[in-house]
Amino acid sequence: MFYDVMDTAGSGLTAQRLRMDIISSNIANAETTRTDEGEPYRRQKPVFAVKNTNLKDFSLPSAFSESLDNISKGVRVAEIRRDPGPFDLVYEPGHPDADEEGYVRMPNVEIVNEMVDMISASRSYEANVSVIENSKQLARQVINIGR
Amino acid sequence: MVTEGVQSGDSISYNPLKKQDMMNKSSKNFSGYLTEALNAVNSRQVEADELMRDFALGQNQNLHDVILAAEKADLSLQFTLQMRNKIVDAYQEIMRMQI
Repeated sequence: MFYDVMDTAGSGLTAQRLRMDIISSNIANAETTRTDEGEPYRRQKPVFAVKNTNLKDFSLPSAFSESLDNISKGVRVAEIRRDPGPFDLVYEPGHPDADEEGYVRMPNVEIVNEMVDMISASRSYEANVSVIENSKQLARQVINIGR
Repeated sequence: MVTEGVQSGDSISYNPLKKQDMMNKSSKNFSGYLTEALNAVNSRQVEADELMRDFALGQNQNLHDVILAAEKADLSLQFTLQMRNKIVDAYQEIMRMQI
């Protein structure tokens, strides 16, 4: 049904919004040298997984129920993983967090990568919005049949 | 190839629905269905309303959840209105019948 499409695309919207949150955190902390773990900020990245719901709960026509058993009903965020990559070493002797040789460990956040990720996230968000708009339009057209 | 003719009586049986059967099949009457549908529409409206209030109070951060709930409520209402128009049309058609 149209509401199922809306729920599925809505989960996509939630996931992409969370991705946006994480990207903004990465960009905001691109220069952060202190965290609770005692090391510089590590870049974070969301891991998406399919969200399977038991479709037997939905009232589907019996002709479709078998083929629709394996359909996923949206996306969910499985985990937010930290990038284990090496930190940037920057020579800056005046920095409060510099070591004895004057090197500061900077976060492994690459601003350019984050920008590209942000474009990708906003495009995915727009795609999900298009799906919702389209299904809404279809529903309206069906209602207009009776008019 | 041997084809058998349709034998009367045993292979295809004709069971006209009796009035009693129909009454048993649908224990709910029409107004029951209508009330149920209206309650479903109302619960969607209430849900959209609650989400809107939560968003205004800052308890829900997902704007699209609010919009989607409002959109679902709107579609349900449009569908119900269309159904009502059809039913009223049918009623008026019957009332216009020549006796």
